[in-house]
Amino acid sequence: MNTTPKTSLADFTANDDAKNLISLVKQAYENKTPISIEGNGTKRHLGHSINSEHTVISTREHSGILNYEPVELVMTARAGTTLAEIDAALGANQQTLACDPARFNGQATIGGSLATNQAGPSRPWTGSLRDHVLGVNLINGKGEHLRFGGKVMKNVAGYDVSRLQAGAMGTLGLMTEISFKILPFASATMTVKQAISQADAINAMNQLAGKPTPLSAASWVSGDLYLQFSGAQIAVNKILETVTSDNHNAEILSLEQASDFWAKLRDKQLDFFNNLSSDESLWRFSINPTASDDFSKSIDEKAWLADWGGALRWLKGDFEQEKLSQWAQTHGGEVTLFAKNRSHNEISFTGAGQITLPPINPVVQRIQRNIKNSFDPHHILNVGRLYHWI
Amino acid sequence: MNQITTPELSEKLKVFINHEYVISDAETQRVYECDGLSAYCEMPLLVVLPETVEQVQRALKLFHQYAIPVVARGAGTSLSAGATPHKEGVVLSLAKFTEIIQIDPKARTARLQPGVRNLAISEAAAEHGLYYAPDPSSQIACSIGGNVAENAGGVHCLKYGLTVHNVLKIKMITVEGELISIGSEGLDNYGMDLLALINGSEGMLGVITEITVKLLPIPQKALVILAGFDSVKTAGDSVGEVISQGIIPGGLEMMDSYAIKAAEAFANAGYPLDAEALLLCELDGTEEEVQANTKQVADLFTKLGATSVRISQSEAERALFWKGRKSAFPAVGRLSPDYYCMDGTIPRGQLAHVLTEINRLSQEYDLRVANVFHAGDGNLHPLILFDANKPGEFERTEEFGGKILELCVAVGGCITGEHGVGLEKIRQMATQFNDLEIAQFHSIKFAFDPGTTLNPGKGIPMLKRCQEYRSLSKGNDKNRVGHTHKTGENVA
Repeated sequence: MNTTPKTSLADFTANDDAKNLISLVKQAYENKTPISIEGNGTKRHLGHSINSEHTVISTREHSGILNYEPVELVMTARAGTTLAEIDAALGANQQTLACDPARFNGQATIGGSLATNQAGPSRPWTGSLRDHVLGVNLINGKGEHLRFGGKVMKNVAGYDVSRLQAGAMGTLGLMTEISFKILPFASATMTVKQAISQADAINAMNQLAGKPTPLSAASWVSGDLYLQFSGAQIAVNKILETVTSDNHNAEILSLEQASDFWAKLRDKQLDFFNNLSSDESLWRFSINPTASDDFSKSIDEKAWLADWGGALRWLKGDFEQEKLSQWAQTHGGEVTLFAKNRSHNEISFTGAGQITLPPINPVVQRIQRNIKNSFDPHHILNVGRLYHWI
Repeated sequence: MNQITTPELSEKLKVFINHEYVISDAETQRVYECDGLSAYCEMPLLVVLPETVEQVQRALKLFHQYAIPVVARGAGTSLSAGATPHKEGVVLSLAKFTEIIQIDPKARTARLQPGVRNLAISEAAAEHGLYYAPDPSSQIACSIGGNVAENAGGVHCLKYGLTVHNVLKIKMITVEGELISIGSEGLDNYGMDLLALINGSEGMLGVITEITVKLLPIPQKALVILAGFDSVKTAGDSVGEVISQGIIPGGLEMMDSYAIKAAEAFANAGYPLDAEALLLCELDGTEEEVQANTKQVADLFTKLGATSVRISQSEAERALFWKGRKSAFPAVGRLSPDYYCMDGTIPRGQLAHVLTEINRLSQEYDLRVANVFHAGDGNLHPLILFDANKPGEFERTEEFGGKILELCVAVGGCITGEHGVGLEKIRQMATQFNDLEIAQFHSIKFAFDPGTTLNPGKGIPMLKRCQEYRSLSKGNDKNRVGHTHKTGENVA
């Protein structure tokens, strides 16, 4: 597990590279030359790969925490600031990000984390960066440096351009500054683990999520259900007592075991994600959390992993796309080809082959293309990263 | 400008919409002339109340064909003139869409038609131990479709988020009349987050016909602490102290002495009348957690100099404590013929400075003001008291209100936290955003509505007006649309 060194705000590399970034984007706009935006490159495996001939513009030289007043529960940081730096600054004040994005050894930047909207196992309870972003400054495809949202908790003036960046993968702008909500540490966090079938786990996670408990993460991995509870010590103790007395094979994990497990699940470092054998693909389902039926039960349990209380499912193996798509649609969601093993030694993450099913509705496609044009009329920003057509 | 006369349009609509729901006579239309901000009134060409999604779709196709402006309307409780009619357009009321289509207790979701009242969702979900978290003060009347359009908040936002955090999926009809679905039953979707863009878009991007929201388990226990303070500053600082303890209250509200007195006279909630400021702090969660946190916060308030501290002793008393706060607007309204509610958001640390400045402006404009504050998330609702019958008083009130919003922007806040821009704050948009940013908003609008017929004139100011707005410091400009009058009063 990644440990962040004790650092004070003054120790952070603080660099203002905004002028340079604006001039690079302006040049690209004038010359109509496509550019690829990158922070520390920890999320190249997400979305489609970008033509390697496109010039890479890095946000790494644009970093540093600009504003952090613990009592306001808000932080503003430059896009190239790493989550390790942010975690260290927050930790020194017993605070934390309000959600739990993938850290990738602390090297993930706040800009990339928002652009890809990567969220850890606590997503159903704590949301994602999309939920906690308050404002962004961004350079659009014309080289205009714009400011949207704010540094306050609520702001409904104008369209929500800040949240629109979440998951847009840098296709609408190069973000330079991001303001986001933070929270105090929960006073206690405990995890309990129990061997159980997937179908039973899906049922148990949904049942529990409907009851007033301090549940903060629920996942089913390799035949075990993991439940995390966070809140006041007294409330966490009480629920652990109930869970362990109802289920005799339930085991309370040590704090180290628990944080190691959740971090690995969040950052996709568990064996499940990395041991794809030849001809296996890794599929990601974002669906109704209760989904469980003959189809899901007909597949060997070892091929499945359930996260987000059941709303996120991973499946690896060799499957017919059409069947997976049908299953995702039956359960109100979608499936994405996440990774494919193309040789015995090399796992190819999506790259040019990412498929999302069901296919996009033509009207929604038109709207997304129009939005792309509105931010980036010459189509220079991360062309092809989100979809091949923008 | 339309290539069709109103009677012709009316006839075409009556082909597929019940005759009595195509309203063209002035008397019946009158109830639609304004929303909750009655200072802005306008009469539309027609008011249409379709009963099915297909009817909405056909109507929109027809309006699109003739480039007729469309103002979608829910319960009409908007406080920013977001639902004010367009004089060359049609009001499309979704009032007939009141069905709770499905409650799925296991997945903890509710599928709703847009006209379902906010409170009705929680009432229907209660038998499953679930509720819908966002609770704007108008929750007994406001509709979920309008909540999405305005990204409505409420007194529990700090912990449970705004509407945008609690909506999973919507069905929407585009300006061209195409029905699309945005979002899913899962928690994320590949591609641009159009759902985030629709929340708070004030009816300018599409017409919503169905909404799927998340439901949460009803907390096992909730207690409210009622604490009086002898200064606004001490109360404001106490809010920061609670949060520094690592406790996130379910609700954390503040009222100043004027609002306390008005609310107490109205609700008899037992508020301390001698206090300069009142904090209402709700702690919710499991029984054990709430007991422990309540004691900690109550002790903290005492230590910080609270002049009185009370903890709700029953559910009835908790409801009574909230009743005072939730009825603060009408309560203040009893002190004056009219009141005008502002909605700025500020960093909490600026509270004392902003309230001092508001008091100074209050004297300058010779208008009384009561302050109600979502203290936890920095959302300030100054209520300016005025009398619209006195010539020039509304204009002075509006100017005073504009100054408050500019003050909010100056201290790092924004012009609206939850009420939306509508027609009301369109001038102040030019304070918060520069021309390039406003141009970007317009181009987002064009991505959905190239002919700009959906709720035109609201939300985003025309660029040519921005410079004017910025240079205008007086309220007697000609940009404001509609007339000024008191609630219920007729305008010609």
